[in-house]
Amino acid sequence: MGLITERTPLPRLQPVKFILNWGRRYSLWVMNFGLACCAIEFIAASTSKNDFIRLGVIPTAHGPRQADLLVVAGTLTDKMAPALRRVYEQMPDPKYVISFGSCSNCGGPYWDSYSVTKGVDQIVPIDVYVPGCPPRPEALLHGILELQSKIKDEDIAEKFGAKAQPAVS
Amino acid sequence: MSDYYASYGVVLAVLAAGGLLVAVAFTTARLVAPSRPNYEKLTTYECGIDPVGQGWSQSQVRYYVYGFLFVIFDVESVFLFPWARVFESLGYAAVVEMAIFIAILAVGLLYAWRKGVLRWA
Amino acid sequence: MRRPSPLSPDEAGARLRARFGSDIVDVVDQHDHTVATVSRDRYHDVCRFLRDEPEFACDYADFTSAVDWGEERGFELLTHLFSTAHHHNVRVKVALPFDDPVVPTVSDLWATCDWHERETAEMFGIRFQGHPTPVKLLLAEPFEGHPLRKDFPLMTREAKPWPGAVEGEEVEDE
Repeated sequence: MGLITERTPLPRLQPVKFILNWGRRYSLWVMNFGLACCAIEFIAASTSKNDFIRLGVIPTAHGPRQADLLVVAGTLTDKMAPALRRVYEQMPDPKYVISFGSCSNCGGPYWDSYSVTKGVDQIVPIDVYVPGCPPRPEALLHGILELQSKIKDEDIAEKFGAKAQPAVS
Repeated sequence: MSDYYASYGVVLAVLAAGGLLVAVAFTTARLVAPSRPNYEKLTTYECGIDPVGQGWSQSQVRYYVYGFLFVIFDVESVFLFPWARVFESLGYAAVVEMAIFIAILAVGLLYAWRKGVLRWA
Repeated sequence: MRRPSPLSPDEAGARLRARFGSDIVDVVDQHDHTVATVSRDRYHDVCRFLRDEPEFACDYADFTSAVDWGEERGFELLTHLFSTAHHHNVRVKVALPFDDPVVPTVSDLWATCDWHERETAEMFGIRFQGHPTPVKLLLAEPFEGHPLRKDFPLMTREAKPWPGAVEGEEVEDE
């Protein structure tokens, strides 16, 4: 489906593009793929002191199917990698991923481990990398704002147009 | 008389507005949202692993007690609501009659309580 | 309530030696914990004695793990036991040769050792005879090798230098 987005030239019009992007970026429902310590910082970012709900990021996604945004927070082991891939696949489009913390960015302090996937971007495509060990909750807020400004300039028609290739095979 | 029907008209209008809201929301999503179904996306969610077993689970039959107690008292409240609207104009006889009705049902509840079915096994 | 009175390591060692004689290779006192090194053949019997004997009553198995001392000395299997009644801490060590790390299982005595032994088996390559389900516990299915052995190469360390080095600083080669 997505008749308007894919078949008509309507989404290329600036006002329509603006409205679609506005709606998408201020209602990013998040699924916390919390693996380790960074998950606690994510939870801290959701509490009242550093609140990311005011940015529209409501963490009530009970699973990938109700989420637009996946935050991979923590160390990903090789044993867990297929589960992450499956959860990412089960999210409906359009979807975004934030890699939170050094372990998911590049393996972090476990860069030489025998069982850690050094970098979640080997498994899922990442939109924003938030560095830190663990990043402060304000860093997550900054990451979300970066993602929102990235979505502002996004052309959803081009990304999901009939001729566009799917992002990951 | 038309006043009477007018209030039902309001209810109908609210119902229609609700239905319209839902229809607009879903239709907009259908028209605007991209849809890229693939096999993996459509698998049953089980926290990232392959789902095992069936989706159906068996409920315990002992909860039937709560089911039928609910029905009985729900029907009782269905009778209570219109009575509450009109009993003032009917006098004391209506109060006594409803008290008898409630008392009969209360005896049933007392029986269920003493039998122990209200205890969480 | 009687206060629990743990046996001192000397007493515990004396009782063990009285029962098992020369199979108890060594008994050491480490901060009031009895550390007994036993021979591989009597390992199971010693553990059963520690569990069943009323004076010891070691009903709680804390962990089972191992140490890789290298090719000459081999492995050392450790099992830490605790008595909830008397508050003894007893650690049983078994020296295993490097090329034949086989030892009988104690998972029939304490159910918790089932998982601890699975982890020790996959990390060190020690085989536990009589273990009910000797499959990998923590490592991913296609993983080959025994990571906690000293000779296991960490591929990333060989491919990349240590990323924590500040520019201009010399990194020492180990």
